[in-house]
Amino acid sequence: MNNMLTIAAKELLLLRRDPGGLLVLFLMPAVLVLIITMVQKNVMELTGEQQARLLFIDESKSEFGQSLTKIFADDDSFVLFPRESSERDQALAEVKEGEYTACVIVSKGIDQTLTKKLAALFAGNADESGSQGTSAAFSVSFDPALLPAFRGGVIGKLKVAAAQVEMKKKINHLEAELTKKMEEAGMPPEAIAGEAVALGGLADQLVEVREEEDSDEQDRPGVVQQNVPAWALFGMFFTVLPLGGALLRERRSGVWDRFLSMPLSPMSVLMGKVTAYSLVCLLQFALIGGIGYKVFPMLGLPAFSIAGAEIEIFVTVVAVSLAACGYGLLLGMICSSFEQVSMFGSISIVISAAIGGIMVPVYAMPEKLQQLSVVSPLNWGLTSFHDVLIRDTSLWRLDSGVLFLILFSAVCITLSWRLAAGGR
Amino acid sequence: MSAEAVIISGLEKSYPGSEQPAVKGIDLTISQGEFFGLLGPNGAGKSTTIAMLSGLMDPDSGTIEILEQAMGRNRKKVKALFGLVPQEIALYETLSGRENLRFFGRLYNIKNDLLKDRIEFCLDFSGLNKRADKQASTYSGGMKRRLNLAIALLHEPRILFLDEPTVGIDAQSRQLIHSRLQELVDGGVTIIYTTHYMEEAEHLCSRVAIIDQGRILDSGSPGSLNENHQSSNLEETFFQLTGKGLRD
Repeated sequence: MNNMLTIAAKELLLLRRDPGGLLVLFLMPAVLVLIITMVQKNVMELTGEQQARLLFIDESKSEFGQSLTKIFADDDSFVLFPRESSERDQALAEVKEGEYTACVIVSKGIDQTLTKKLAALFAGNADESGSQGTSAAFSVSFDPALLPAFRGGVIGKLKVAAAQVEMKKKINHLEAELTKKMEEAGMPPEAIAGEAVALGGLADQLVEVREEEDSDEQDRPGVVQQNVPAWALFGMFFTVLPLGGALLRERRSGVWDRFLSMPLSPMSVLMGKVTAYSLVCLLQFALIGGIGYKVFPMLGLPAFSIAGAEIEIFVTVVAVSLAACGYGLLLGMICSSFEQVSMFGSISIVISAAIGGIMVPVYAMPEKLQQLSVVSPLNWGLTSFHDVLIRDTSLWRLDSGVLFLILFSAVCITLSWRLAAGGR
Repeated sequence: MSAEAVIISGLEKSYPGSEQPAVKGIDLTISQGEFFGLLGPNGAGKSTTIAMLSGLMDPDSGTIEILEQAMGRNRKKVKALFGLVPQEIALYETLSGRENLRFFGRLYNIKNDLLKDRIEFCLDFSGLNKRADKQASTYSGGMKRRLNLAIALLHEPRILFLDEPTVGIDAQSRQLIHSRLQELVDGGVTIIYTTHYMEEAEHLCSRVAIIDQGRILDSGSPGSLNENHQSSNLEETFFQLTGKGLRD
């Protein structure tokens, strides 16, 4: 135990005297989590929350155009910039340059085409009223750099707006036809008015789609609750590089030979290193969690919170630290050059992060990669964080990521010890 | 001081993938207080022998006894009896000389008060007092070699294994190391020393063994070896036994 603590204290002293190494260990993940979270929040907003800047050209000067203008103006998802027909080319150029999200052009004669189609519909002329008839459309041009998901969102909202206008027009037409038919049947118009169902209300949406929310708004999984642990995890696994490098340096400098010639167990040397670097991992998580808690709200992002799950989070962070340190030891024991440690270490962590869902959620990956994600230690860590922070499920079960992380660290540390005890 | 310090019997070691064994059947007895030199060209088996003696690797066969204790059974106890000065400079560059000594001293479980005294003794012994609190990265090659030696002396070992401890240092540092090693031998410490410098071995060692291709070719005091091989110095004897052909 004494030897282990002596080794741990020495490792921390060496780290303190290595400003470059400290920058890699603490500044890199801190900057990473700040930038990636802000970028991802923006991307997520782009797919549903951010306002679209719409240029609107009503060439039809019709009731349809006016109704559409009113719907867009009332919808918080859009900021409308009306333009004249004569400005069409310039408007399209501005959209192409990315100054506006899209340009909606309601073509001349849309009202007449729609009226004609409705008349055909009520006359029972399917060919004229359906898609084979003259088209009644308005066109949309998008900023070419727009994400497909955002494009799809805007198109969806435009379709709903068009359907609303179209429905109102159909109901008006139905009301007129009904009045005409009843008059023809000898019923006085007053009777119709008295008995009339409020047909105009038919266009109103009666069924509402409501998203179920947790009782506490703070508990809703957001980009911050997902990103802070994900990138903290990524940073913690990068301790593999200084730890593996330090061990390799000892092996190459003869210090390891000195250890082997001393009356101490190689396991105590390895566990001393694990103790020191696990402490570094805990500090990394505290720093990144602290940024999520204190700095994010200043930047307009929600605050990161582990309230109510402190013990589970601590256990998860310790399990991740042990796994990262175990892997670092193994690399330090297997590799024979610093290039191997840095190249193999960083590439394997980036691959493990990529297939583990750190960069892109696992559900968004191709099926084969999704199957592969179960072998990634970073996925085990991320799943454990999500279990605690988002899904509110227990860590204490057999398929828990924490258990896999501890097993992984045990295998790595045992292999490292076997290699270390085997001598040169 | 009549007991033997080291008894090696039938020591053999082969490396995986190597056609020839590195050490094949070495038998050797070294008495306490002896300054023993292990001489041989590159790849002769000197460092492998020192590595097995100091517990860095296990022999394929044969036995090692250190101060009447078998290496295999009482490894931890035996390791406390000797110190190793590796061929490489085995210390931490970003720690000061004093911090290096304190760290390794604690690993030898030397109690705080005694450790302080031992650190001061070792700093004085290696002539590093004035630069004790400077980082080792600022030391010259000779100072690093002296610190490398000092670390191995912290726990007052009764046997000292030195693997080419004077490689690449200036004459002054070499001279200091030689005189300090002689002081240790005078104090009863047994030294087992490998070197490529024949003059150094002839001057320091009370007995030497010349080994090549994993076997001891001859052993004895430098004077008796020279006499037996009718040479004027140890270097001539060495060439007579190992030849002048280049080694890889």
